[in-house]
Amino acid sequence: MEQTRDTDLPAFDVRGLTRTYGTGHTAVHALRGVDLRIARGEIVVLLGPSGSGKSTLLNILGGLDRPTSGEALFNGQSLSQMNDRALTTYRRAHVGFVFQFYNLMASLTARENVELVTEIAAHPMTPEEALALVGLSDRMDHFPSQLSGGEQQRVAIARAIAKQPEVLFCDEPTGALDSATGRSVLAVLDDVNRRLGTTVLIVTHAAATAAMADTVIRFADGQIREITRNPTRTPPEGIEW
Amino acid sequence: MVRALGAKLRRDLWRMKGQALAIGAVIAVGVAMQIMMTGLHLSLSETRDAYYERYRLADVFASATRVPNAVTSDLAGIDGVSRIEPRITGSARIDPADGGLPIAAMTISLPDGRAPAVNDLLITSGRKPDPNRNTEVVVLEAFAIARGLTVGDPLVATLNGTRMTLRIVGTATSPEFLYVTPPGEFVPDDGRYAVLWMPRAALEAAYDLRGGFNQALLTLSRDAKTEAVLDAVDRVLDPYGGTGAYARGDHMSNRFITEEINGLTMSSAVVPPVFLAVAAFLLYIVISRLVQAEREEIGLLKAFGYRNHEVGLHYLEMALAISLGGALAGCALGVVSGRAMIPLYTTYYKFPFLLFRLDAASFLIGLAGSVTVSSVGVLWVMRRIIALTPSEAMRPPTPPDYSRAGGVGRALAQWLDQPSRMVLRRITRQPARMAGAVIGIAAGMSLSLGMLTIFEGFNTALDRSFGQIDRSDATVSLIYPASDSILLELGRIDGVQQAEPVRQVAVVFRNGRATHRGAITGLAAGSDLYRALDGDGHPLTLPERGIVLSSSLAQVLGLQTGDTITLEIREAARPTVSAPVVAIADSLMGTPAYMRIEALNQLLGQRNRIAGAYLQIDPSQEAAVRQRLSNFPMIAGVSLSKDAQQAFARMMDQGAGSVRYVMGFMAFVITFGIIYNTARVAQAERARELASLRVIGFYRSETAFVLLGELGVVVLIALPLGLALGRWMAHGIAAGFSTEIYQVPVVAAPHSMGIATCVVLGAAVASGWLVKRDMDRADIILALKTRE
Amino acid sequence: MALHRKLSRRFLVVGAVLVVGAGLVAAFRPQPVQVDIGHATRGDIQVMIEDEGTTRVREVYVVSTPVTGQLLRVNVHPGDQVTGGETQVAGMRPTAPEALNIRTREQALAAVDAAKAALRVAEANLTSAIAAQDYAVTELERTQRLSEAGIASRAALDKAQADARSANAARDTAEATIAVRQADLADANALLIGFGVPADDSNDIPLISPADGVILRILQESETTLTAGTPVLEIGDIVNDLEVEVELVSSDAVQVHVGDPVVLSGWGGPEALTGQVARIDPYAVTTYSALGVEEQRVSVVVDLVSPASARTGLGHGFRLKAGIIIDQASDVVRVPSSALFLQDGQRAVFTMADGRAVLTPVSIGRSDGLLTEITEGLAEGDAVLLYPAAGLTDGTLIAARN
Repeated sequence: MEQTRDTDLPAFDVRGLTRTYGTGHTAVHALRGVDLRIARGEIVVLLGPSGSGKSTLLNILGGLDRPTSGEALFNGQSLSQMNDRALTTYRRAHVGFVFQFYNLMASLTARENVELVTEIAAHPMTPEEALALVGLSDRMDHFPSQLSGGEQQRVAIARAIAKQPEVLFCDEPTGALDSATGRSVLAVLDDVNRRLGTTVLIVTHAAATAAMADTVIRFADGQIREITRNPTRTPPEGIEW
Repeated sequence: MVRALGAKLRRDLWRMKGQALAIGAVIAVGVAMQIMMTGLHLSLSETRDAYYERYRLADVFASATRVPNAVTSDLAGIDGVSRIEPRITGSARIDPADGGLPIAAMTISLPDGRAPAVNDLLITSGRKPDPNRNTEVVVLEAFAIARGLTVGDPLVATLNGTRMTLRIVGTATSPEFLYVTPPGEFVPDDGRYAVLWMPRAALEAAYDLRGGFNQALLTLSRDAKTEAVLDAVDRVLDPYGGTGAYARGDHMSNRFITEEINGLTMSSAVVPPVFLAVAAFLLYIVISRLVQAEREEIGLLKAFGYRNHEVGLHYLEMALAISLGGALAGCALGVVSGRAMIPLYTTYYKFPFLLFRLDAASFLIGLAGSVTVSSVGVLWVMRRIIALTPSEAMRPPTPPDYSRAGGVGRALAQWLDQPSRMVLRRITRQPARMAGAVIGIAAGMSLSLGMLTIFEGFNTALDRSFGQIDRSDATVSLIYPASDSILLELGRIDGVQQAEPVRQVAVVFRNGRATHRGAITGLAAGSDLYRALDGDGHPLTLPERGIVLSSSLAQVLGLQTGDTITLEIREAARPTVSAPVVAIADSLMGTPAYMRIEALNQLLGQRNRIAGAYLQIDPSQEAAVRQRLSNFPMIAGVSLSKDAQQAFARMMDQGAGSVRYVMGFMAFVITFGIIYNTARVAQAERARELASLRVIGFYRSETAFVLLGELGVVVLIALPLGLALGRWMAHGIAAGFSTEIYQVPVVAAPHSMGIATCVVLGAAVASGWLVKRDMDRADIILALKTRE
Repeated sequence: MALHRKLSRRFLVVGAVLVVGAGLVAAFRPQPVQVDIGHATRGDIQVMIEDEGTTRVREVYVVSTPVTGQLLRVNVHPGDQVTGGETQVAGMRPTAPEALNIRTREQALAAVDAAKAALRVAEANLTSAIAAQDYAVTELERTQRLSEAGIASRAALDKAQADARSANAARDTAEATIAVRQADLADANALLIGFGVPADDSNDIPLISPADGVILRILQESETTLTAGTPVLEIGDIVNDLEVEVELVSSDAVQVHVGDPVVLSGWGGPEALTGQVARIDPYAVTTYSALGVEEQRVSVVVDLVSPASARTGLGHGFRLKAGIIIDQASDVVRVPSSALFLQDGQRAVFTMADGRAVLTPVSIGRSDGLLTEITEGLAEGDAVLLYPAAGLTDGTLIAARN
């Protein structure tokens, strides 16, 4: 899916996105008709309590889930009409993910974890570059069991960006880390956004994180309550939870 | 047990129903085999023992040329003899009503007015012959059925040169004829061998034995020493041409059934344990995975005050549910298959009835076995349950440590991509589990490959017997040894292309203290239709002097080429001579020994005698030749090679055919059980990893590679191991067959190897496909959210 | 490097599939059937009728007793060479008289006594006759003197002369009677003669061999008394006069002609002998065969062609195997008979080409049992399958058993 990077085209265009789990009276309405535009190259923070639908939106935009109804367009391409294979290809080429619990391969070293991605990507950076970007050049040949939580998360980020994706999705990236480590991880995300121009979406329930974003979207009960724009971004080092 | 835990048990079992079924199937098959084999063992041995006892099968058989009736009291007086029955036996030739080939038959006398004290018979239709009517006869039931004869039918038979028309007044069976084959063959063919029971007076007249008998049957008392009795009998009968007494253990029919029963004993000791061992292994990995996944719950239970054994009991119950379920299914399956096997046995072993007896003990053993199996699996996991402290349990687990395992195959890893490295590292990190899976699959494969190889060996034996050793079209036997001018006369028959002489002489072979009752086969020097072969399959030239022993006979007697053997000839002048062992021949059936017919005749002080001939017949004139052969009074019987071959092939197809499928099924169940369970456990363990790969952008097939790759490696390693084990198992089975009856060659059997491999691959692919299907449907997001 | 690694997954999977696939292909590849190979050869074929034969000397001379008498112990033995007209093979002697039993002995003794008594009577008569003669002579002399004296009458002289003459005659008679009685006594004594008469070989009769040859059989070896015409021994010339008699079944005899060559084997010597059919009887005799059925047998006589030196030791009445060649061909293509079979009514063999069995129809000619002549379909040196198994078909993979 080669797309021209037209900076005027929004990265994502969401219209009337709905996601319901189950049927009948036990149905869970995770998203109830969301409309949204996400500009390219921005840091977007999605806030809201648990069950508000923010993670659901992230999953749909990331191609991990399909909406019940509505449209989600990435660079003009409709995600909701893609089959599983097409979605996988979309993820493969354009998307990087970072999760709360790192999700590294325990049987691969840090470098190999990143190589996992660079081997299947079209225009990757080298694993060494990616790990250098996250400041782990000296821990490249260590296994996850030998790394601290923060280091593991940084490897996860390196893995996510090594393929030079257009979009980076982060679901509670600092949830399992202490505040200092969390700040450093956010700093990496910020750095990646500035240097590579990657659109970064961060889902979190720590409201203070919103300070580092360009756009802050607040969720409640499956709908967008509020969209705010930050005129300036606070450097992550300065965030206080 | 708490009700909540009970609900958990039910739900957990339902969730892993596929695995539970797979393990249950392994247990079921193992228990079924055990029930079936021990049941058959019981049925056969009890029925045999009851049959022998009820109809008083002899303990000792002693034949002689002609013994005056008065000698009976001498025999009865031997220490240890409790009952004696003298009788007359002889051979007869039956000319079938439809004009077919003459059939060799055995005649047996019945005492007047009473049942025989030893070797009684069971009349299955009609009645016993009237002692005053010399032409009444009772025939062997199997023969009558095969030939469509019933009470009232006439039977033309020639006894000792006198042709008689007899009338069938009844059919009977006797424990003496439990397993009956045409002379010289090893497979029953009911229509080609008969037994005729006639009044004593009739046979006395026919064989010129008035006032005497030629066979004594003895029943021994419980504390009798058989060897001593045999020696005493030989001494008494020696002046009357005694041919050597033998005990029940050497009676051919008894030998065959005993072999069969022993075979069942052996298989029931080998096969079920393999299945139960595999099941124990699988239960271990499944329960241990479950414990790993439920660490939190276990920690909670312990935190709430549950004791170790209470927690352990829960998992034990789970294991028991699976294994008892499998055991019960196995019991039912065992009974069904045992019953189904019965007709197979009654076709060849002529029991008056045969019921599948259930051994209560084997049920208990089966159930106990499965309980033990599950307990062993769970007990091993108990250690971990005990070790788990509540606080530890509720913490997220540390990622498994691969740093140490990385050393193995580092060089290899250089060339591999990341998914392949993951596969490699996982294998090397858990060598015990992988080894267990490999051994389990190899064991299952070897069971089936072993049997398949044996069957190919039987086919090779058949080809060798009829394609290399005996290439004749027909074998003619004479009523008594006669001049070799008969060969010229046979050769003159239109359609007979070649006639070669043969003479078999009953002999007791002796080497020091090892003895063996058998026969020497005398053949012409350059024989082409029937040849002795050496170990490489090349025809042996028979030496002018000296004897050639088959390898089976040489083994029994402990002799080699160059040794001297003592021959106690049991015919004619009955000399005892020594002869050098000149060569060892390959043997497949029985324990033959070969000499030149001239040398054999010389040993007996005779010249130019033959007892039969091998014929090669022009196929276009076969019917005419058979017609001519039936007309010669001197001919006792004619047997066609193709009849013997067909009987053998039929037995192989019937018996071997169904066993082949059972074996294949067994290998499939084991392989499927192992691979399916190992894959599911691995999948559960790595759910998050696999989901992460999908998130990264790995397609389903690529993700499947990571999970199924390690199973692929397991199967690929198991295949050659299974092939080797299978070959070893074939040797073991072949060695288990009695070398005295037949020897099964273990051949290369590439076809069987291919089939065994396909079964394992099929099972692997099937289970892999099921697991992949499950993987594809897995909820990525849910997997990602799990804690460990 | 990265490319290698990227593709290593595929390599591995494809590699594994290939290895397993190759293994399965090898496993299921049709295995060649093991067969025994023979060859078509060029050479002779002889169709023979074989049966048992017995040797016999053509002219057997039986030496028998010319007279009734005592045969002396025969000292020649079977195998001794004899020359006709010269060699004495046996001897005879006149018979000893019958033995005496008790009654005849007493009778004989009584006869002797009677004869002796009669002799005494005769001797007494002689004495009396001599006395009578003396008186008669004396009377005659007296009467003569008286006659001359004229006292006695002529009649008295005649009477006296007559008395003298009859007295002489009576004396002669008495002497003769004595001789008769002596002879009677000798006769009575002779009756007493029994066995135990000492041997006297002056009356022996030699039996001379009538022909050259060897003694075949001694029929009467010990000394004994025989009537005339009893066979004593047989003489025959086994070297030059030996022939073979073969009794053929009539259907075989029809196929044999005078002059057919015969191969004689199994006689005990190193080489087979040759012979020639000399005579075939025109009539058959009923016999029982070895297998017990009735047969009609025709006697066929075979002359021995092999020189005596080749058959030393072959005697009369020896058993051998005669193979009468009724048909032969030389320089023909032959195959072992075990290679032939019928396919849809046509004779065929399997030849081997490129490791496969090829069904080859052939036409056959003569057969001697082991080899069969091939008139069409095969050439010298062609490989054929011996004892082809029932399952073989055209194109089956085969391999020669090593």
